[in-house]
Amino acid sequence: MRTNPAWSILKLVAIAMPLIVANAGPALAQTDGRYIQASFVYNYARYYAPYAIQASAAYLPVDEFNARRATLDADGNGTDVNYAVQMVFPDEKVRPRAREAFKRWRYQFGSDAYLTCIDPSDTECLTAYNNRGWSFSGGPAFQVWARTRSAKADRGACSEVSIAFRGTVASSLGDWVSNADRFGSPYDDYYHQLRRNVDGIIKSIQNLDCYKQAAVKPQIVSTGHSLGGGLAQLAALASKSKGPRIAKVFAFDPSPVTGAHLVSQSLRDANAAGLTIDRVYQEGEVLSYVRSAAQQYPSTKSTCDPYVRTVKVDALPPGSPIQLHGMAGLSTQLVQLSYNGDTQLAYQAPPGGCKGIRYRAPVTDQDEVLVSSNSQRQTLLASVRKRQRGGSQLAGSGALGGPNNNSTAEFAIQGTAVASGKRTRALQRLHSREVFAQIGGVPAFEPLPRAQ
Amino acid sequence: MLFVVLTFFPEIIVLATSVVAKLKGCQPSSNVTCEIGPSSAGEIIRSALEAGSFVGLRFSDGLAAIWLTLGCFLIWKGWQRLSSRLLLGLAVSLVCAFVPYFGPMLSIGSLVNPNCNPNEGGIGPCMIYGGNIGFVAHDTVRLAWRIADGAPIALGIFGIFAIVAIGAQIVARRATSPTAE
Repeated sequence: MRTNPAWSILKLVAIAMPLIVANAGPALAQTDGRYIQASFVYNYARYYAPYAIQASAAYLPVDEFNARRATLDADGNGTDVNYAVQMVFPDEKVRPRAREAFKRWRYQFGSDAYLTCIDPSDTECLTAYNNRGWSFSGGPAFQVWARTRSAKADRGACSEVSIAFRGTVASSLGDWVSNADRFGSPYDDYYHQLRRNVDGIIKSIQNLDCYKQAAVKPQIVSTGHSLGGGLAQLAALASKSKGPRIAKVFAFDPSPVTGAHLVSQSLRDANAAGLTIDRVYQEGEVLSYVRSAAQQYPSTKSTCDPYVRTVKVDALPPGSPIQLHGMAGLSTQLVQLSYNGDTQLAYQAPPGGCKGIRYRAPVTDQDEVLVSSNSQRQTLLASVRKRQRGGSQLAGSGALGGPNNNSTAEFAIQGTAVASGKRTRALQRLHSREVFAQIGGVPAFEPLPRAQ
Repeated sequence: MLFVVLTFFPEIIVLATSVVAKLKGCQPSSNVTCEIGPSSAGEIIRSALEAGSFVGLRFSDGLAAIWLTLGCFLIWKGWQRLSSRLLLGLAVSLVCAFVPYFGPMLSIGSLVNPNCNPNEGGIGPCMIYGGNIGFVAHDTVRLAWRIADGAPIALGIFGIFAIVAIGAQIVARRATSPTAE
């Protein structure tokens, strides 16, 4: 009996369609940068490394950082930076690279105590506090870091402020009670405490000297590991609509609990609009399974408002799911992946995004000029390259964004007077303003004091 | 009883070691090695925590199902009354649902000190009684997340056991009622 060809084609289509659908999803996501596979992580390792270090350093006592605030070590790095690097990276060979990745950041303030109301004048917070659930000691531990424009620890404006939340520690019952807050909890757990204090934290950030000194207000991001990743997402979803909002979340091996149920629908939607969430995790870590089964809002599939990016890292040696859940190894590998041999790879932020996204990716991890989209980034880079070719005073020390970043373009953007001669410095400043003027007409560039 | 205790035997070792170490006058935060017999307190605790983590991982991988099925079988054989069977089954299930995952972390809860603050990030060293416990201490914190796999297994087995026990009771009553008439 002969088979009908039409019937055969139909059968072939029926078999092929599920395969195409199954494979087209990730491939399509790859093109818009929403899904970064492990093999491509090294491209962005340098971008993620400082936030990974912050998420790791959040496990260290806040008092230690308070004692080291705004002081410099003999090597010119912040005492806070050196302490964080020393504690997070046991391997001495990795430390110089980690220092390089993190040296622009300065610790500002933090807390690891129970949070009543950071801002005593916040009536909403006081009302929420008076209606709180059962209390226990301890609160959401966080540290606020700022990327400074000045080499001096206590001076200059900052271009970005990051709130790093701590994950779970063994000694705290409150941590595990908070981890269980998936659908609600009668306790005044960390999610509840943070929910009522997000605006207080942001207000404290607005009062920072480096924030006030910035010509263009620095963008605020949040980061954290595991429970800290969940808290970082809540902070972004719960801030008041009036003031500055968190532009981006860097959540490492994040908890599936985000505390979104504590935020009203309208406020949540307002904060989710234009928000970017990067969920960076080691493949096979213990929470990857839990997230796939019980991820709270926002879903991993969220393509816009918020824009959720999944970054899968396959950097750690094989181990059990609990061993792969660590942050020390992930930080180490992200720092190591940002190097090819002894050469630091070019700085690159992940592509993609939606319309109206709040986060403006820094052009480099050295400078402070921010652009708000990829097209603007390209305009800036093209403009800088053009000047690099044309200006003999600035030329001749490397490619833009290339290894070691001694590029003239970078100096031009940064405005740091590294090149010799006053005339060169004046030209750099002039060019920088012009470069930025092409971006949006807002003078975001602020001349820096001479690097020490 | 022995069957249940076996699941948290490593935790009992940790607790017993810390009691002996304290009786010997050792301090958890001390940098001096605390000798207990041929070994040191730190080394014993480290080995026990490794064993505890291994048990927790295997339980969440599915060993809990076999273990509990065996436990329920023993309860079935040992107790005749339905209420006894259900209560004991629930108790054993709850033990299997929580202890293998939280037990190792809770057992070193009293040993946390400035030189050792176990956390799921694995940040910082961990020295207890002068011994380097290292990453094993941090693993105990992360192990607790495996409750997401382990607890449903344990409670699921209890649910099946409860249905079987109640069903068997109903069948037995129906079988005996005609003879009573």
